[in-house]
Amino acid sequence: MTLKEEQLDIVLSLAQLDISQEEKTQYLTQLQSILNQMTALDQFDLGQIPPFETGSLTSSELREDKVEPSKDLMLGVNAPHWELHCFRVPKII
Amino acid sequence: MLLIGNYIVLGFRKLFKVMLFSSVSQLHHAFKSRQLKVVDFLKQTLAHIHKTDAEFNAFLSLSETPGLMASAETLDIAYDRGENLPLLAGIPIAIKDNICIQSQKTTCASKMLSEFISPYDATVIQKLRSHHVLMVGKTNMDEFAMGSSTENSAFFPSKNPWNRECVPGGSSGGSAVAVASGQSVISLGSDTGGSIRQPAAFCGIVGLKPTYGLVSRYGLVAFASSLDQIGPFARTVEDAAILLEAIAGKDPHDATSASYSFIKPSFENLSIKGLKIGLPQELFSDAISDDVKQTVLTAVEVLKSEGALVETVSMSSFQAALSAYYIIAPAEASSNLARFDGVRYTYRSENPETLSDLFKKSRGQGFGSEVKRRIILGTYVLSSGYYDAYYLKAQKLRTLIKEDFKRIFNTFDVILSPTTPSTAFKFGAHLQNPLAMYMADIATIPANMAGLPSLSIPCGFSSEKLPIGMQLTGKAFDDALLLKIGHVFQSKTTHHQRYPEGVFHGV
Repeated sequence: MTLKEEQLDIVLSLAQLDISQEEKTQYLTQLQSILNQMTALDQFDLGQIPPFETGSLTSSELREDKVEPSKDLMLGVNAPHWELHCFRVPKII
Repeated sequence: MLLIGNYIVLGFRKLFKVMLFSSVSQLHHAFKSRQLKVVDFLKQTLAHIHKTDAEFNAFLSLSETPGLMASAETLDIAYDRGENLPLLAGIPIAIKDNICIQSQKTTCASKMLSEFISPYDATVIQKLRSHHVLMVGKTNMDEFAMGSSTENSAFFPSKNPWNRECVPGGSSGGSAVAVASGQSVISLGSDTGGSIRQPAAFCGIVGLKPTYGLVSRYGLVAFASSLDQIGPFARTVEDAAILLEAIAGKDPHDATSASYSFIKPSFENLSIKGLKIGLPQELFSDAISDDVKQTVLTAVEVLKSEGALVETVSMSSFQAALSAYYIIAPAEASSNLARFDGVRYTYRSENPETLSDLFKKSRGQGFGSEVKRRIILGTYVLSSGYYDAYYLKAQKLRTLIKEDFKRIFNTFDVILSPTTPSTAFKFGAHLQNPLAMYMADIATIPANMAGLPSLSIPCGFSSEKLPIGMQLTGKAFDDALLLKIGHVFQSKTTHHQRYPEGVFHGV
């Protein structure tokens, strides 16, 4: 399958990524060679094989659903532009 | 026991070397018998890190010395009182920088998280705290664990202690360098497609990817959740087993963690007589360098001489495992990394015009080249029109890989292969060709795809004096068997006792 720049633009939009034209050109070549490698899958008859569903090797057990006190998320150090008990968000409208 | 008994004979300089390359059991005995103080060992370790890390770049951040010294002093008081402390009490450990430690930076070697302070401890860290280990610092890695050389770190690459012109492997390269250079006795890494075993092989140490679910992933920054697993690095198999025992077990915070605990097996009077070992012919093909192949086959002879039965097997699905992995792992990564949006986790682009612009610019600037490549690839294979052609096929092949392993384990106890197709490569060798870099994972990926335990142990050196690793892969939750075989091998060989020349340069 050939990857075209228009397809790459759609993928970049879906992935919420802004990259330079130079990066686009580089990625197009590299991704094409990676996708060509994927044809190795075509040598197997996978028609009747069920897809792998979970990485878990045992049945999953969910913990008891109980309310716990909120953890300190340390927003004071982790949110950008923190001041006066609030963190600033950029003006975007 | 070489420690204090040889102090006068060896002199301080040699004693220092012996101390830094001692095993957990040796150090525990020395602490307990009061031949060595925890504080003194910690001081020597920190001095060694400060002297050598400008050269090796194993660490991204170091823990605050006063806090570490206070913990060490408390442990010395407890040892003085004769308290029965865990084997790991007072042992310095390095932690890969994608595992959260409360109130410390967890950067994943990414600009996106360069100032992020974790508000909580990963479960493995909580467990280690209960064993009173001394966490000396966070280690370098490929950004978000994507890579095989640490060259994808946003900060700097780590260097291989055996040859500083070569990569240490990755993504857990910093953790491997820390142990190989004597900067820490043991360390933690994570393995999604070989990120513990490949750097262990390149740096001449032991690395274990435990069975998926044996160790909780809570607090490990997710890359590909169905493949990620935390595991130990050590110089001996026994130390790896001690560390695994400390971190394994069911965790209510991780629904994929299994109701299994791991108890370190006894390494006394072990026998591997009659053990059936399969050598997959696909992993002894022309893709593997002659040096590596011959060294691993020589190591196989050691196991044969101990009574193991060895036969060649075929696993046809291995040929396409790499392709399937590089569909599934990026697909999961594209989803997991969607949370890094410029609103949370510290990095934000300047002057966005719209909310969408904020997301796109922050992600475009905050992520490095390899991470963006994998996000794009993952988004593509999951998108409408391509899902069936790529993602669905890859998941079907994953089923085939699992079935192939199951078939072989009906006859064999373990599978043995080289860990890597070559020894450590030079910096820059594969940077412009991602596919060549991905090939470094060809032997390690199948175990991740099937969730199986897999151990890399040093088994010799190349003609260029670079370490070579041998990989043992077993049935799910048969981690103990791999460690037993590894211990038998180490008891008959001395590869693991060598350390890199020049590690003590200037000391």
